[in-house]
Amino acid sequence: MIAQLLVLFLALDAFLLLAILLRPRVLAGTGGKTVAFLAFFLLPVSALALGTTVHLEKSKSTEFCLSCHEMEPYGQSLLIDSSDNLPAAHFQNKRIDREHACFSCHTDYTMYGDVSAKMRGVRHLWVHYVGTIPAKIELYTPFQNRECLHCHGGARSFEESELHQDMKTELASGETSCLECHDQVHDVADLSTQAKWKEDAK
Amino acid sequence: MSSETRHHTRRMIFAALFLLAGAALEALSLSWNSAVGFLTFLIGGGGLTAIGVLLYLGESVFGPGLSLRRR
Repeated sequence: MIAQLLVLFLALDAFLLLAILLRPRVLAGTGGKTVAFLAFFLLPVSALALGTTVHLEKSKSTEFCLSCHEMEPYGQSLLIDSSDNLPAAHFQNKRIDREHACFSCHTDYTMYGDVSAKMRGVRHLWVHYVGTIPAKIELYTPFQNRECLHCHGGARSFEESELHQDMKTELASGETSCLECHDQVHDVADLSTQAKWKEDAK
Repeated sequence: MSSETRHHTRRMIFAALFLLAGAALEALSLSWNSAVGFLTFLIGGGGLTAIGVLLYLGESVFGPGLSLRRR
């Protein structure tokens, strides 16, 4: 919807600008200043604001994250054929939206979590184009239990699990990380030796 | 046409051209769902649009008027 509105604004602006260039007297007539304000200010600025929204929304997609070559192995790790592999099990069992697989787990579930995630994305772009890509890609900060509990907290499978009973307080406070037990996460080093899930074949 | 009017007319034409180029890049960037698309939009489209808008504002605030016609 926003993308369609953006295309409409861009097309309208291009039409007005071409009309002004080809027939300059458009600006001299009644309402000339209004037409100029529309074509030179209101429509371009509105289009810029709408476009930013559209692109920020697109940047949440799995396709966007995997568009950088260094992320390809992490995308492939979602297809590892193992129910113990945390991201793969989430992706293959649709515990997360596959279209937003990376963002679902790697955003911060806080008031300004999306903004923080986008700022990290800008940092990724800087490293990709200007900086040096590290040999081993790691998170900037340790993964928070908050992101897991955003979905799993209150879920029957989590709340009634015997293994979780003794450590619920530690998990909630972050004293014990979920990843201490669920430790098979994006095993890109062993990627070539692991069997892959092929959705169409099953 | 005075030299001052010609100068302002040229500035408006440049503003229109920058805005058209910016709009074209913004539209093009919509077809890409990648970092390249995002940067094309923000730096390419946004940069050209900002220049166009600033040229217009400079003309409308400090110039004699908005008409491209001979004054």
